[in-house]
Amino acid sequence: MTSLINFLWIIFYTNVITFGNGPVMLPLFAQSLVQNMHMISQEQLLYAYSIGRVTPGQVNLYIAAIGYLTHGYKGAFLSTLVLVIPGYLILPMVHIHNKLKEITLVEHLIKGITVVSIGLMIEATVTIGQGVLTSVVPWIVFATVIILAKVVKVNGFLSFVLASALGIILYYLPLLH
Amino acid sequence: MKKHKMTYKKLFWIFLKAGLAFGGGLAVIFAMEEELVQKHRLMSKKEFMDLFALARIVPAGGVTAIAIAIGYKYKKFKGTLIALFAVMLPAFVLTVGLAALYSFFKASSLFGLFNYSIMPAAVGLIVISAISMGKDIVHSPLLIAFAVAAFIATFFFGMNVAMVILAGAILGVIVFSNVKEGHDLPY
Repeated sequence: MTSLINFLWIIFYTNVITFGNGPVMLPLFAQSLVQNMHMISQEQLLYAYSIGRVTPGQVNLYIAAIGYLTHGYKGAFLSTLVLVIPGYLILPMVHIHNKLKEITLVEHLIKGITVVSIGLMIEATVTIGQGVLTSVVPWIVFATVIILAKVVKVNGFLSFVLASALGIILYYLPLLH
Repeated sequence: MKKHKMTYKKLFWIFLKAGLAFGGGLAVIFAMEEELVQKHRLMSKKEFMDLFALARIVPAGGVTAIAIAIGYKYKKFKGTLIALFAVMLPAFVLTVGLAALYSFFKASSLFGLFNYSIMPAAVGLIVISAISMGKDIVHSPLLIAFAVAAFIATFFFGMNVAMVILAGAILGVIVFSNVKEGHDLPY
């Protein structure tokens, strides 16, 4: 029970301080849920993020997958609830929209978070990458995603699918084993 | 332009359809815009874009915030529940379903395949997200220093990631409020 409450609290504050940004939450989960609390493994975290990415809809619902992995269906449902409840803040914000002068302050705050998040995400990539990029094919898949998205300018989702497909083809090519 | 009437059923279908869009949050938001603005003419493009701008600063992700705002606009509190339920249903069912299959995959030979496909691809996606977020800051040595400091603090010193983010938020307010537009920063 305390484990569930702890878990939901982590989901809550991680969501709030990152403004619900799926990839930005990853470094936080890697530290809190994986390293400090050992609730899930690095591999499970990456698995949850991958399935959140391939399924339709918003990516940050990979949190529901993490909830399932740690506490079953109850965890999946409650973590989703904790994720969406702060979203109700949009209602008062729409209401006072025109008076919202402090909005530039919030913009600055978000820019600050964005900038440090870049460093944190690179850090998470290095840490998680050490467990995943262990042979040639994973490295090729990893590089293909980046090349497709950034050089060929294919959208992120399609790059992900195409690079994964390439990995599967390479996996079945006997010459690499 | 005549605006059409909203029913519970229509609200549900519009958001379910948006929730079925592949490609993450932005794809879902584009699908919402297409349904609400272009197809059903329930709101103007400007109204939707204003909402989109506000949703970015709500801690829950843009999709959630927009679903709540639009659900409330047409059907009050009950509308928020319907819109949220519909927009999250596909992702929730599929993500949790695949999470439930984790131990099955892990025990089967399929998991080896994942290590050669979706797992390294997901690591690539994290890099892409970082690059996309970073494309505005590369012209500012000050901001690059922020990002590098965050990396060093966590990677070499194991600092608490939440603390680093909070520090970024506070420094962001201090620095950006004091630097003139177009001076050092591209914003």
